[in-house]
Amino acid sequence: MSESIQNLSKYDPFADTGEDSELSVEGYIHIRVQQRNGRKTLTTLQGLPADLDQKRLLKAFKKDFACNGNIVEDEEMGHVIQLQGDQRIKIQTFLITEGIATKDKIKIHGF
Amino acid sequence: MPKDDPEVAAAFAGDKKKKKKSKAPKDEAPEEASPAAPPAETAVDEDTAALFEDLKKKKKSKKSSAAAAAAAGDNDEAPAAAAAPAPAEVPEAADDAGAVDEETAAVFAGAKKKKKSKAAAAAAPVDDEPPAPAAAPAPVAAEPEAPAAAADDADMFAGLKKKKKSKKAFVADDEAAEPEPEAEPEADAGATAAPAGDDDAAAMFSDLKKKKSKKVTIEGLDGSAADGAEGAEGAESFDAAMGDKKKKKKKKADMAAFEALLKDDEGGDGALGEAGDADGAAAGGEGPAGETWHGSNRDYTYQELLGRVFKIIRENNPDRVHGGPTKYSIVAPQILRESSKKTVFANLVDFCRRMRRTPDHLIQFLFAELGTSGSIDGNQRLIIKGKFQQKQIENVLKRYIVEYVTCKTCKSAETVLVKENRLFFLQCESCGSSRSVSAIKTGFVAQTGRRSAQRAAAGQ
Repeated sequence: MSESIQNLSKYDPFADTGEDSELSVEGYIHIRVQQRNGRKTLTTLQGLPADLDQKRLLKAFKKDFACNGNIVEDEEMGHVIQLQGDQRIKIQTFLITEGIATKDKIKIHGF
Repeated sequence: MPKDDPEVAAAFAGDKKKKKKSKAPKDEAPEEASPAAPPAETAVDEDTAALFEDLKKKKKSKKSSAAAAAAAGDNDEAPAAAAAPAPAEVPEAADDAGAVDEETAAVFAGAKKKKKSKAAAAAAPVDDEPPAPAAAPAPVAAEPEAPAAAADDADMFAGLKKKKKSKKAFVADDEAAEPEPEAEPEADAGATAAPAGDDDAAAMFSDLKKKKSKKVTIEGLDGSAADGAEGAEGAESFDAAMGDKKKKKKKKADMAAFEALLKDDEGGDGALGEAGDADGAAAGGEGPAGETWHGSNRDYTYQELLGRVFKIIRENNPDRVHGGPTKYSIVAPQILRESSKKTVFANLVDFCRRMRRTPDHLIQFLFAELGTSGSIDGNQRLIIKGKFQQKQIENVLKRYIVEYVTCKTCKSAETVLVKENRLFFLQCESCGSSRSVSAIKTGFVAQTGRRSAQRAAAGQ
């Protein structure tokens, strides 16, 4: 019994691991918008579940929203889908209707 | 934020009204029969801005039904039509212990309504009737709502009770209103109710009326003289007066006994007891705290419980009379365009001071949300790269306030942000609650500039 307690003290699951892994831990899907030149904007989608086929999703996005886009490999964030134009609301509704995420898991950023 | 302004105004209006009201019952209590006083007080206590609106709404819908009754009575030749609903009141009263009080309440409501309409439409020629018969319209008018309620609810009793409750609230309102120019707005509401009452959609119109009456009331409070208001709303209030007159005639014709009872109630305090005995109900069913279900075996209604809980809250928190957290004001951000590609947030420091946050924190948030960068110039202004309109910045600031300033528990903005072990905690100074807030993280920022410029920057 006491041994198990000792074991418990050895490993603290809540200890600070030093790395900021909150992004994946939270499970939030972040949708951001960025300004480009002029009145053009760029929408980025980050934090999608890993088991999703990003390519197929991108294809669906591109077809549905009639915009171009691509997948960016980021060393910190992993796969990030980029779309042309401000597609934030459209992405959100798409993800919700397709059952990929719930509304409280989607965070929309930007102006 | 501009969005808050109407709310603040509404709350403020509510406060004003409240003050008036609380004054009014005291003035009235000695001259009016005492039974009317307790309900009035409870209603006053009940009333936060929200509740007040609610009650008003009800009142209005009742009025509309009253007007409908008036119209109906006119067509059918009064006595028969009016007599039908009236007797229904008596057995109902017998059932309810508190019913007697409520009836008297209704009486007073009627009286006041009449007075008001008199005041509003000075032109009304046939106002020579004594107060007692004039008082009758209220019950009569109120009755027709019972069938309506029954139709809506399968449970007729519930409907009746609810109505009664609202009636009482109505009394309180009226009493409060009487000495003030507010009388006109009320009459006005009644007048608008008249056309509305024709069709059954009282609910639909009640909303409209609510808005309207609120507006008008504020107007009145603003100090427009009673006469001025009268002049403005003369036509409408005249209509209301007409409706009342019709009702009066009708009611005069019918049920002498009921009228006598009403007269008694008007006459003195003791009459209440008599009336109660006559109705076979337990007199004094009304509890000292205005709990109308006290001593009766009926169920309390939602409205009554709501009133009770607000009363208790008010008693225990005398300093919180506003019924809600005090709204704090914040300046609008001054957004200027520096060049074609840069935006300046001029009053950043002032803004931060009002929110009691460090500018660094806000800047970090702004940059993370907007996905840009920037700097602070010599005059403590924030220069943001990119074109942004004031509205867009306001949006982001709103989000910041919701996330990092307002207390989730009590909605107060009196909070401080403290950092403990790499975690930010938002501590509320008004309610003492503390919650952790997520640190500001800059997400993925796509490359938007030219690649050659990027490379050059990286190479340096």
